[in-house]
Parts: sequence; C-alpha cells; structure tokens
Amino acid sequence: MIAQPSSSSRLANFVAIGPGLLFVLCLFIVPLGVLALRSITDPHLGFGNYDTLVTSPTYLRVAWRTIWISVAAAMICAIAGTPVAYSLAHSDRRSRNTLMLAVLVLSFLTSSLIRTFSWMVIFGAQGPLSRMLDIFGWGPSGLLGSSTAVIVGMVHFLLPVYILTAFSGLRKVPYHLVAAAEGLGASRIFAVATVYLPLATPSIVNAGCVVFIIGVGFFITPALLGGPRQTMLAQLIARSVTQFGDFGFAAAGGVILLAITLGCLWIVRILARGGAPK
Amino acid sequence: MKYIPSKLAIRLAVAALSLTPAYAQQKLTISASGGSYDACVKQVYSDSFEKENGIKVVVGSPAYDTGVWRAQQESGKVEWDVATSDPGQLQQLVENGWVLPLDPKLLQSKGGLVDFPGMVTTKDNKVYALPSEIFSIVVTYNSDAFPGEKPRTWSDVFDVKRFPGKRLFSNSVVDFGVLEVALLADGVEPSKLYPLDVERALKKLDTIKSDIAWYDFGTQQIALLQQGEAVIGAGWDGRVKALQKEGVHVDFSPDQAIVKPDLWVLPKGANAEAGARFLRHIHDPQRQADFAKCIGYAPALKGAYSLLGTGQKFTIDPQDLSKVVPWGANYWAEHARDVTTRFNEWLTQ
Repeated sequence: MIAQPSSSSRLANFVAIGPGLLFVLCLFIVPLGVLALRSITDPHLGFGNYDTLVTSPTYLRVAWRTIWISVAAAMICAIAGTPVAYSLAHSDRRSRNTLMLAVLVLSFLTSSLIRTFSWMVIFGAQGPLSRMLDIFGWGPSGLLGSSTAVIVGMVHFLLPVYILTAFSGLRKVPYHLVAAAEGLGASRIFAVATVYLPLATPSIVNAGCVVFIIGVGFFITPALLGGPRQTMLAQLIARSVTQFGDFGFAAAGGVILLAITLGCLWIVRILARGGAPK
Repeated sequence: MKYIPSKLAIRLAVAALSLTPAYAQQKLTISASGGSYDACVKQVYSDSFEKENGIKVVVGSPAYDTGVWRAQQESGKVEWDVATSDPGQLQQLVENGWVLPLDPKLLQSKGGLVDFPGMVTTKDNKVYALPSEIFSIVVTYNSDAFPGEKPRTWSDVFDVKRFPGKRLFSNSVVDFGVLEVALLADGVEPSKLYPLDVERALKKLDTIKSDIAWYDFGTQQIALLQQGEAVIGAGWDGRVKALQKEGVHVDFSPDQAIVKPDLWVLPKGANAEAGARFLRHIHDPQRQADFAKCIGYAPALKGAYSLLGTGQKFTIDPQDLSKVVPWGANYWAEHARDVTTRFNEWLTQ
C-alpha cells in the first residue's frame, strides 16, 4: 500500500519546489516563449522565417552536419568515457579516484577558448601533429579545417562532462551483481556485458544525451578548428545576428535547433527503451 | 559608544550619493573595433581628448555587431556616445534611423578628405558618418614562402602553380572583398567591377576552393599568417604592418587594393554633444597622421599626408587614386542579403 500524502506535506512539497519552478519559469520558459513569438512576428507576422530556413539548401545542409558531428562526438565520448566512469564508480582506491576526478574537473574548468586555440597550434600546418604525419608521408597540409579537428576539439571539451555525468549514474548500479555472476561461473567480461551493461545503459544514454545537446550548440570550436564545410547551425545563427541584426530569423533558427535536439532525444529514448530489459 | 540614528545614516548616505555626479567628470563612452585599434585610439585620440576637454573617455564594447546595435536601440539603453562603423553596416544603421546626421561643415574643414566614390555616404543630403582612415584589402603573403618572385596582383593569388600554399580569405563576403578579388583576378576591369557577376566570381573561386583557409575573425587572419597556415591571400594592410612590426615575415602588394573608409558615427539616444566634440577632435590632420603611424591604415584627411614624415608608406596615394579599387558601397547596400545567401550556399557545400 502506498501512503497518501497528507495535505500539509503536499503544501511542504510545493513550498520546496516553488523556488525551483519559479526560476525555471522566469529564466527559461518565458524567454523561450518570447523567442518563439519573435520568430513569427519579426520582421513580419507569419512563418516567413521558417519558410526561408527550411527551403534554404545551406541551412538544411548545415543542420544535418550539426547532427552528425554532434552524434559522432557523443559516441566517441561514450566509447572513451564509459570505462573511465566505470572505474571511478566501482574502484575502492580512493586516492587514485580523487586524482582522476581532480584531473577531469581541472580540464573542464580550463577556458574552452584556450583549449581550442591550443588545438589550432597542434593541428596547424606547422604544428607537431602535421610534422609527425609528414614522417609517415601523409603530407604537411595539417588537419585544421577538417571534421576530424572539430570532433577532436569537441570531444576534448565534452569528455569530462560525459564522464562526470555517467559516473554519478553508474555509482548506483549494484556492482555486487557482477561478483554474484562471477560466483556462478561467468567470466568477468561476460558478467559485465550481460549483467552490468544492461543496468548501466540508462546512465550511459543519459550522459550521451547531455553531451549531444551541448555539442549541437557548439560555436567557437567549429569556428576556429573547422572550415566552411564544418559550419554548424549556431554559427549561422550568430552570423545572421551580427551581420544583419535579423533577430526573428535567428530566433526561428534557435527554435529549429531546439526541435532538432528534442527530436534526436526522442529517438534515442525509444531506442534505449527497446534495448533495456523489460 | 555613541548612538547614531539609522535615519541620519541613511540621509547621509543618500546625500553623499547624490553629490557624487555633480563632482564627477562628464563621461564619454566610445566603441572602437577592439585589439590594436583600441590601443591606438587611446594613445592618439582619447587620452588627448580627456586632457583638452576634461571629459573622461571609456572604451565600451565593439560596435561591429549589428545585433548589439539593434538591441541597444530597441531597449533604449544606448551604451555608446560615439562608435566606429564601416560603409556596409552604415547603410543599415541609417535605414533604421539608429544614427544621427553630422554637422556638414565638419567634413569640409581641415583640408578636405581623400576623394574616391564611397568615401562619404549621404542620404537625403545628410551625412551620417565621419571617415577617419582608409582600410585596404591587399595581396598579402608570407615573404619566406616566396623567396624569388613576389606575388603582385590578384591573379597571382589565384595562381597555385607559381605561388603554391594555402590561400587566406575572410568568409564575410560583404565586407572583405572576396568576390571583388576573384573578379579582378579573372580579368574584370576595375571600372566594370560593379554590379558584381557573382556566379563568375564563384566559378573563379572554385578553381582554388580546396586551397583556401577561411577565417571568421580578424584575429584569426593574424594567427593563420603567423603560424604559416596560409601563405598568400587577401589581408588588411594595417594588420600586415602590425605583424611586420612584431618581426613576422609578411608583406603585401598595393596593386589593385580594394579600399574603403573606416567610419565614426553618433548613435541616436546618447550624449551627441560630447560625441560630436570627439569627432571634431579626431578630424585633425596631425592626429590622423599620428593615428596612421600607429595603426598602419592611411589617413582620411588629405592634409595628414604631408605630416607623416619620411619612411611612412601607405597603400593610398591621395594624388593618384587610379591604382586602387573603391569598394562598392552602393552595390552592397542593395545586394548584401541575397549575395550573402548565395555565397553561404556555395561556401558550405
């Protein structure tokens, strides 16, 4: 039986979540509504901005590219970050864990502009990476202005976010089930793959979604490390504001970016539900 | 301990606060273009303005972002009393009524301006911007990359056989002459450049598309040249000179330079009286000569050239403007949006 909450505890609940709700309402829902309204009223009433956006080959191309670059970055984060989060979540070696967390947080706190500029030097035609590739005969042209450069720069920013998010979820996965499976004769790898991973999937998917959402809005990394063929939606939106002050058009771009993000999350949720144990 | 009634304390505090503005200096907020430009504005224009007028000058955020202009004008919170602009942006500022007309006598004073089409923008016989120096888009190259023959014209920039390496271009098609440069390289006469044949220009750019390193921001232009990422392309004369001062081996050719003025405007809804005083202050041959030496762009006032001293060479020769190509302010006022749309489509392909 579930105990019915008394009216006083309901009131207490409301008081407790009130400030949070108000915060979200004032700083997120209202501005978002204003933005959406602007997208259909500026410069004229109607869906002209959306019409321009969805019929523009440039925007369609760039929207598609934004999705695949962000998906690629999120997948690399999941592949490279999950083992780290796993070891952080279930290891008893305290001092090592502290050190790893400190490295992650420090890297996260370094300005993304500085990190991006560092990659510019590394990927540049005169940079160390290009000279190394030259030894293997891959030419001295450098990687600056390639999708590889953009994805590496994005992963560098997103990986700490991924690991920290996945870590907090993985900590709650009952690790003793792996030990139980081993006790029943499974190998460690088999136990992790069949017992642990299905339980960990929601945390991995969640963390992947978080970095995907951040990735979709990336601006400075593709601007500095990529070329025109790596242009992402946020850059086009920014350009329409700085060059022409087209607030309505930019707002429509923002709404579409949001819709794309929500659509992708929806697909991921369906896929994740299909993969998780019933 | 002595007891001070809290009401008295509040009154004292209020009185102190209300007195402050009366004693404080008048303040003028200017907006420049950031980086070395701001440093030269301070060194040449604003420090001396403070001394002569007793008005404190504060450098605010840069004004090249039209979105910031619009936000300030729509909210009524105008931050800048005087701001920099360029001919492309000016059209939008004037059309929207975000800038004030200037005193016409100002421009005719002090020996007059270097005269080429597009130098002064007028609407309904009113002048809305004061040109302060002339900005040139020039054939820019890394001198170490080409020890023998030096590139001279725009067709050299498109010649990947004689001058191999990455090309440097801005992806901001309206302001930095990408299409103009391509057409000049393709043999179009400077006098027949406008209206631009956009498709022909893109076709010409296609021949070197895989060799171009595009940049978003002016600072990137410097970084790409400095790191040797790009070795030839369209640069800005002032930036190249700044790099030369730092010992970087870059140079430029003044042939077929595309020229346009840097402008100052008075935003509507700000302290226009103090702003106009600042404009009169910078509209001075000696100060413009000093500013040109600092920034590397040529002065807008004819009278400034005789004050430059020896060893100061600029892209512009006010006596002979036949070698430079004026940027087409009128053409771009009409076509900025459609050409940008077409160019971005080509660029992101």
